[in-house]
Amino acid sequence: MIPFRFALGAAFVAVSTTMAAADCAEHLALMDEVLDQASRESIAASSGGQGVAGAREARAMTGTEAPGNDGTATDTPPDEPQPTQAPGHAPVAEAGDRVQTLRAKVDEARALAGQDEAACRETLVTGLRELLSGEEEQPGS
Amino acid sequence: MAALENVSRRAVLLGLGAGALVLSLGLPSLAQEPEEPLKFGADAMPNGWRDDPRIFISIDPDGTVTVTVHRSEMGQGVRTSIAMAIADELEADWNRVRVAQAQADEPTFGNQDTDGSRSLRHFFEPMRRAGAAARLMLREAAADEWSVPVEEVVAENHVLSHAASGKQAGYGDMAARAAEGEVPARETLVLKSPDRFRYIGREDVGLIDNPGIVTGTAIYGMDAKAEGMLFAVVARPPVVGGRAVSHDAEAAMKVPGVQRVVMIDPPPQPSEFQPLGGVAVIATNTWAAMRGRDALNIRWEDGPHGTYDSEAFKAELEQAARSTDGTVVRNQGDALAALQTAQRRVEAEYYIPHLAQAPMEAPAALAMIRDGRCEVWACVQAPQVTRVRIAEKLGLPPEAVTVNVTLLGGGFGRKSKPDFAIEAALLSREMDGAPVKVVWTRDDDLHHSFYHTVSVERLEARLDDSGRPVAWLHRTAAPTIGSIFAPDPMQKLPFELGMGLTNMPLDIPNVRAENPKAQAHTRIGWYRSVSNIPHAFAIQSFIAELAHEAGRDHRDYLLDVIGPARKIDPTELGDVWNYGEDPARYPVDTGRLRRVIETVTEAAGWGRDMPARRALGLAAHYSFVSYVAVVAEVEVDETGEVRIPVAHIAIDCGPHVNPDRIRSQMEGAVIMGSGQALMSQITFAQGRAQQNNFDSYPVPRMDTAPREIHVHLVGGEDYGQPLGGVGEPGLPPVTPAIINAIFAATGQRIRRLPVGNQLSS
Amino acid sequence: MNLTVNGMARSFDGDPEMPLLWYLRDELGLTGAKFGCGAGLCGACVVHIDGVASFSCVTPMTVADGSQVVTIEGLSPDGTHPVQAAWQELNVAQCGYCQAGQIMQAAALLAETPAPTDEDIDSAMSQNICRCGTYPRIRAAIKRAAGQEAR
Repeated sequence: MIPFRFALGAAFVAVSTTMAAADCAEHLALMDEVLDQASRESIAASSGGQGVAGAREARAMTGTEAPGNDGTATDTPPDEPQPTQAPGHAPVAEAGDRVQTLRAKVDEARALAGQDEAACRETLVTGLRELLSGEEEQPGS
Repeated sequence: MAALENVSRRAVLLGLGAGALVLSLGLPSLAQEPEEPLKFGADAMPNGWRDDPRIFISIDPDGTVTVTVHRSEMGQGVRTSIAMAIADELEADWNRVRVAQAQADEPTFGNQDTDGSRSLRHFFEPMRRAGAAARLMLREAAADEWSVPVEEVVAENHVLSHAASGKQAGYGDMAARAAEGEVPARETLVLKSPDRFRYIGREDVGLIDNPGIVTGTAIYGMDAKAEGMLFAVVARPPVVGGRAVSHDAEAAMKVPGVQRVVMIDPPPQPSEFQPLGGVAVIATNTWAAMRGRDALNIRWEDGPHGTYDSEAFKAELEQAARSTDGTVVRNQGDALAALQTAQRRVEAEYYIPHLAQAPMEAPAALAMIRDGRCEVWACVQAPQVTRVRIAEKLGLPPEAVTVNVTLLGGGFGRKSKPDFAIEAALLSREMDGAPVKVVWTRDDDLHHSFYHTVSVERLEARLDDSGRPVAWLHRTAAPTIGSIFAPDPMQKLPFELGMGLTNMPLDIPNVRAENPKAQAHTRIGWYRSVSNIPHAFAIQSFIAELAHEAGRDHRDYLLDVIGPARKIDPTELGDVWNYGEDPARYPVDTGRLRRVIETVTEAAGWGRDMPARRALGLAAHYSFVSYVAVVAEVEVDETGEVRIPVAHIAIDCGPHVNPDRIRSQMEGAVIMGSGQALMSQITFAQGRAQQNNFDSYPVPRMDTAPREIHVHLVGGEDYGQPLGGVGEPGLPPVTPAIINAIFAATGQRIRRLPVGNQLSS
Repeated sequence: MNLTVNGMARSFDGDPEMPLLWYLRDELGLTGAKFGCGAGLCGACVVHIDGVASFSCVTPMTVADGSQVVTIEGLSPDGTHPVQAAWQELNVAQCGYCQAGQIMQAAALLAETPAPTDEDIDSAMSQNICRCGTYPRIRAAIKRAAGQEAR
């Protein structure tokens, strides 16, 4: 699996350097399709139980495990005696969070499409850039 | 997977590696295993579901059917409802059905974590299949015994019969033989058609736990007993993260009956479900333990949250809610630009305080350790978590820990956290494994809850010439439940945002939702309906405010703003949780939302003339994949005292398994919601919860509760439709309906909960 | 201290300040009366002391000395007291934890006031809390037990 920050960087570079080639509506359509699939996957990776959802999402978001009382890390979320994620599966909250953030940006860009192509593209690029900088705030990830 | 190929193709077209973008969202399965179907509902829960009849059903030679229920009973009626589903497909005589409670063992039973209003949503179908499989096995046994084709054997109401030969047998006669048979393949099972249901959907089945409850013999966690049992109470740090610096063990030991004084170390933060630590007093009876605790004279060190003050924090949250630096969690159109216009701009801020679940049975658990095994009796909503956490604590494998789930004297989310059961196990170990029952007092319960969060919800809207909102901005500032699991994430998690904020289905062109940061200073947990409480309160209050501003009838306005009946994919709204359910199977259906509103307003006589200071108030909310609307009729006297003589509540939760329990859950939701509206709140000063008991934390009583409650069940005729939740979704619209009624009666808009004495002036 | 509990003579020589509730629950193992608040605020612990509905959580053993105590376990031999019957017929309970106290309160009310008005019911039953919110059914069950409601 490509390291997370590297993957984001690659996406950012790709989008920011190539997007001028197509109109923003086409970028938006692409982003929509990716987001739809990503949302479904995020839901499927989450849980209908608020207990499991809370534990999974919180730990996933911060990339941490809950410490046990003796200071040792417990290797399962509380409601989850089975392995949480298959190797290579990104944590659900991180995913859900990113989907939400990016969707908000895409929607913002959509409002600009057709009126201000440059601003539309810029919004999409900003969306990805924000994801990138958010990533960089977490050392070691 | 044409769509995926399409995405890849277009991504390449744009010079953008599909893998890279997908990975950038943190969702590598798109790139790695596109063939694997996504899992939703019970499939996605830890340990999923089981439908093997041998796990859930046993039949004695005398024909008594015992149904093992793996979900915790806390008043929602799940022991009755699951038994109904099984007994119906089994064609069992209800009078010969008993229930047994499953011990904690998710690998055997499937997911046991009783939360999220999903016991029947997730397990109705598997339990029906278990019943149908057992019935088929009985028929096969009889066919075998009688040497007749199984197709000719009928199983009906506890009797097996073969018409041609006139042979007959009871279920008990064939039980042993049936148990030796093969469990039929899932695909071969034929479930009953709903017109053949014997119990499912009927109002008159009754409650399987009635006899034990009315005779006082039903056993709750507080009632667990064991030979030679000791009783413990714990003095816990009054501030989360604090510790006991000194205490007077000798003074406690002087109390007759006190056996031991034990220190429990506070856990590192975030402490998840770990006990808070403190000083425990173990005695030969509860009273002696309590008196011993009174004598401890503990000096506490408070830690970083010792300055937590809820009034100051309210101001902090307000500031956050007015800032523009929150994370944008939903954005369609351009609400910010649309809001720039000063014309018909409305804004409001709502405050929803901390709440304590305060189940009538405070937490309590009994534990004993013998021969390397620990046995626990506890009123827990999450048995498997209890088992795993105790095993970790004692250094035992989970198989060496037995958790017996008692009845729960209320749960409301508090008992999803097994801190109290872990305490019992720790104290039993201190007493060389002797049985120790930890009893929480009401003070303990109110001081050491996992509280409902505290929120400031800020809403802004701009109305067009017709008074309809064209732009909508919602900022939610509240500490997250995530703070008990991870170093304070500071922002709401997707599942919290998906409780009525990101999936808000109003038909408004420009919508923006933001979530500024907020730090947790106490343990935040889920409380019945969770983040739907603040979101529904704010949104449903605000719509009423907008209707007033627009000079329009609130009901008509609400329906107008919801817009025409349509099925919305929640992911398109920005909700990536959807209660864990498949958005294709569970879209947000505004037609169903409209229908509960239309039903409840018609039943309540919306629009009729009312005497002075008496009025109707309306609110509706979608949560736990169910649709609920409430009309409260309130009367406010000259002193500001609020009475609620009548309330109507309508729910569409899909097909009905146990309609009487749906009704009772709605009745309870109306009453609990009235408490949140009028009287209940937890406040903090110097890091300490200020409420000690039901005098300072009032909850509705018979004379202050809504008097008449009419429940209207909407829809549910089609058992092919998926089930919605019942335990929680009744609650969110109750409080705003009452607050909206108060406005209609008095002209006073309450934006800070609870009402308390705000109307007396 | 000597007292009668559900018709049986009992004696106790422990802490005279111990509330009757803990004597019933911890010493006699009668766990029908519940611990809810420990302060006479919620009614989960209600038992009859000489026929009067009383908060056993705030009744010291010295006060119970010499009295006749009836708990939910002793209200009827087989759960058929009219109040218990009505409670089952109307499926009053949700979690059920408070219901022993509610039933004992209601039974005492009906013993004193066989045909209670709504105000009588309010006044007696508002001493008891039900967090699940079963009050409308409690009211209906009391009326049914009093024969005020057609079956």
